[in-house]
Amino acid sequence: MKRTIIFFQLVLIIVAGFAADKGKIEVPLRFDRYYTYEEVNEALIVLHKAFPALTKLESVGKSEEGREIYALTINNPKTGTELSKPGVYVDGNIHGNEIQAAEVCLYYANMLLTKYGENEKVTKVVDKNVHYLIPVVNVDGRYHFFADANTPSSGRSIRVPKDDDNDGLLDEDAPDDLDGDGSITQMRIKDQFGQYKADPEDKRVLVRIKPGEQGEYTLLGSEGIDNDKDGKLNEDAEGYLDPNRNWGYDWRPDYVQSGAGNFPLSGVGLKAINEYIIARPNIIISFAFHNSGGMWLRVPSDKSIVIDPSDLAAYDVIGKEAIKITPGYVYQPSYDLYSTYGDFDSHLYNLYGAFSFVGELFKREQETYRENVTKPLPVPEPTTGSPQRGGTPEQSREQLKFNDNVVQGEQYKEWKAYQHPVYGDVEIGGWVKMSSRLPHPFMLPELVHRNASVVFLAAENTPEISMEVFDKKEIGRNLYQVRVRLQNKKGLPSMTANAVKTKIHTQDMLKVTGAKVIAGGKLTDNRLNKVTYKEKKPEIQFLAIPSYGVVEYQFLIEGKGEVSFNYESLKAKNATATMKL
Amino acid sequence: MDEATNEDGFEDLNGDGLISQMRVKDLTGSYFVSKTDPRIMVRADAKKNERGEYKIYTEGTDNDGDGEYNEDGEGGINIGISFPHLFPKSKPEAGLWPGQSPETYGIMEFIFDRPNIAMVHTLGSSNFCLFPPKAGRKGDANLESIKIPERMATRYGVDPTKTFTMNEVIELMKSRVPAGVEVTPALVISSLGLGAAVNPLDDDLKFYTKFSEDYKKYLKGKNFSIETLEAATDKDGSFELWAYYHLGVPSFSMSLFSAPKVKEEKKGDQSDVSAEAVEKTDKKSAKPAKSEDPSEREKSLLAYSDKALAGKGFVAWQKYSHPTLGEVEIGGFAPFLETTPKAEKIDSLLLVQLPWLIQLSKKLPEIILADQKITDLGAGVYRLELYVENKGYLSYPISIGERNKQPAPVVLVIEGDVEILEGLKRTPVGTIGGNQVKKLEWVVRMDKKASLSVKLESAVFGSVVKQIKIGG
Repeated sequence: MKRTIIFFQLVLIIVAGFAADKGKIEVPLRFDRYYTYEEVNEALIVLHKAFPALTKLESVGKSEEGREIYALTINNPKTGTELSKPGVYVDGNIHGNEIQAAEVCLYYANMLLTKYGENEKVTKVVDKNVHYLIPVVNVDGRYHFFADANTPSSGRSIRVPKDDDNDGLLDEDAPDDLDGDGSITQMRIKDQFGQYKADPEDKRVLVRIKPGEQGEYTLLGSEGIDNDKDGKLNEDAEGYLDPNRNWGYDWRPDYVQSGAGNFPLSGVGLKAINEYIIARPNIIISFAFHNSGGMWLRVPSDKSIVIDPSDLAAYDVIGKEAIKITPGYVYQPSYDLYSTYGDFDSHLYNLYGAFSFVGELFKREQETYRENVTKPLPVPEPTTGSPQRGGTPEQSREQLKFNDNVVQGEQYKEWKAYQHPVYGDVEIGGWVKMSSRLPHPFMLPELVHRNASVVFLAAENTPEISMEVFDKKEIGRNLYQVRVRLQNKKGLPSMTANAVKTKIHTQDMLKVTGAKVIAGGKLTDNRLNKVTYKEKKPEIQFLAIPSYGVVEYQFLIEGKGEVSFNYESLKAKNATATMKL
Repeated sequence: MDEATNEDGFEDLNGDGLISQMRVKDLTGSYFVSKTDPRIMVRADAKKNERGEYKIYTEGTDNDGDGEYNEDGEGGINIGISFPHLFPKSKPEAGLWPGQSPETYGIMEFIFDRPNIAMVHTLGSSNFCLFPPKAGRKGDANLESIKIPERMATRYGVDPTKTFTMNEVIELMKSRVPAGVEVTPALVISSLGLGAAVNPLDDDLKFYTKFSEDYKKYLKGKNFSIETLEAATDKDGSFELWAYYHLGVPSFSMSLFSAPKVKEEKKGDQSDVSAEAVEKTDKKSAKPAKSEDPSEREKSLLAYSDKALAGKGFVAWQKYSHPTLGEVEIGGFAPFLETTPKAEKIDSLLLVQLPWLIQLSKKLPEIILADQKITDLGAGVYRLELYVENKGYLSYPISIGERNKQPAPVVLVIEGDVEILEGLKRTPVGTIGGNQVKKLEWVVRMDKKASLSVKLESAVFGSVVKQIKIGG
């Protein structure tokens, strides 16, 4: 641990100079720009230094390229140890290019810590829960997304080389930043036989020609040269091991699930995070932030998997409110987007009993340029194979006007002539790295706040179990009939129904000590006195307390003196009640 | 599941060094003592007017007093079923996910770090040397009868209820993928979500079948009886299945010993795991299992115990006063009797069987640059023909390796001061069948005196460079 502290100080010294030109990183954190990998670490350090009593900063492990993956724990030790409280896990940026996910994590930490003691609701959540935050899962990916030229969509992978084109070489033909502007944009070439022409209303937009019409351009794809001279451009870039297809639950090999990697958790950083999570079995809810599209995704990731209806109801408690907190987002099972195997949220739900959500941050439709934004533009038809994403010409025109007049041209690179070594005279231009899937920084504060508020709502809904002895009757000599009630005041159950069924972790227990328990069991109807007595060991009852639910137990206890009832749960906070016979 | 771990393991109550069984008289029991051999317990079949009289437990006590016996022993994950192919996720002993145990993870890491591994042998409970990997599993995609999912079908303008062959789907997809993307069967399988292969591919079954026949002859020649109880079939999540399906290499498991079978007219061999056999037994299993009294397996084991082990393979039922069950009898087969040879037999078993693994290794593919031909087309333009030969018996890769694209490619690299007019500088050779020669062609332009060499590059077969002389 000491070594880690020294390391943090080193990091602090190193990054202090780095960040100087962009404004000092201090508490409260600012969210009007994006943080590099180093700056995220510095933000975590300043948060930890400002709130040493409430936070713990540690390295979970190292990435493929040796970068540290940091976790910030927020826990108030005065209200209990970490493992005694319901755990809320939040991570982001598992895909290297999906960077605003880390800002949501940082914002959430900043919000909890700076409002602790000031805002009543925040104070309650901090006192009741423990939060585990890993803002950047794919640390190499974030580093390279900032440092290298990219498209908004490139650099998802973790840094495990892969021979994408089966030529025996690894990662030898990535796109190239020919014009040196830090972005990988598009290349087009004048071609009267091409399939595209300039849109008459905005010459920057390329539209497909109608049959019989004369073409103007051919789109050549992403900026680059044929580095390995195999007649294909940019076909073997860095990676590809998709860190969200490499988890253990229902993992499938690469020829079935692209990006799976050689075997489950072959990514070293992912393996370290998995071990971090295993050591925190109290995690009952998790959020993994991605971009983009505006979605709250829940399990299952494959249509063939059936989720227990009571778990779905618990998911709905969060999901159906989440879409009101983040207008325009949809809430749906992740297979509705597409089926995946080896994804993180299935791993957490199925193996560790956490209600796991994916947040797909940002809807590009928010980049509007019109008077009445409530009236939607025509819906684009799904297209495939087209190198230019973005839908209809109407949408492209609006996005460009937004770029021109709302963000002062920062998101679009105007087409410019370039002498290409193979193609000759081409033009390079299009949406830059920091666009499309990433909101312009001026929109970031609202995005981080709304999405963090969904995490907050989920934290508020973690189980809160109270217990009372609500009835006691002497029914014989030294023999008592005692009734105990356990109540969950919140929307998430004390454990998932799936975990009860599949026995992946210890079930909640109600233990009676202090006297001899003759019989004990679940009271299914307290008015008609219907009890199912457990056959063996009646002093230990196994249970789970549903969303906003009540369960009651009846015991026949022989003896004298004080009797204790202890509710023990892996996820929810334990509870105790005592009584005298 | 309860509040404790490993709290209820077995106990050797009678102190004989073996964990055998306990039988106890019980009105609700489902076993009775065999009329043919009183050592054997037979499951009662009510339809045959049989009634159970005994319950059977594993030797031990109910340490945690939960009403169950020995339900929570030491550990642990059974590594033998903890690999990713057909990982049995519903079995707790497989672990939570494939590779959860450091042993499994470490083995997978070790193997993937060595792309030159071209064949895998494992000594264990199944025997791919004698019985090819099991076929007839449900869930395999029929690649000659593919349906296009509705969403994609609309986009492609095809009928989602119609079926297509793999080649037809490849043609359909070609026009729809971005330039430069090669449409392979593997891409089709992943983009249409056709899933993993679960049965050995036809071409691979051919070599497995041939080698098993060769092996039988080999054993016969050594006077080694294979009239034994069948080896266990390949288990879901096993190492040997993973090696075949995920590494894409020939995987040979070998079980070294199984107790001899009693000689008897036998009908329908249950564990002869050829494709046809599995289909047959699948149909059979619809009928109620016939209860032999005792079964062929039990008879064989008893005979083996009596003849070869002087009766030590069976613990005679003996009365024992059990703390919770009361009066019980402890007895039954010695554990692992079926698969554990007598110590003095080990040498002879190994001497006969292990050399077969060397024989199998000799079937490995061997890829070489067999010949080259250069034709002068005039004006400094030449046609270059290279002949790549697989001198081995097995193809490279085998069928499953072609499908999962895991085996490292063999690449031909054109080097020297040449301009390639047709063809690639680096050309993956693709699949070459055993004892086959593949011709690859280039058109190049070069100076007559310029150097031209060809490199055959492979993680498995190493690298060889050959100078090519014009006119030579």
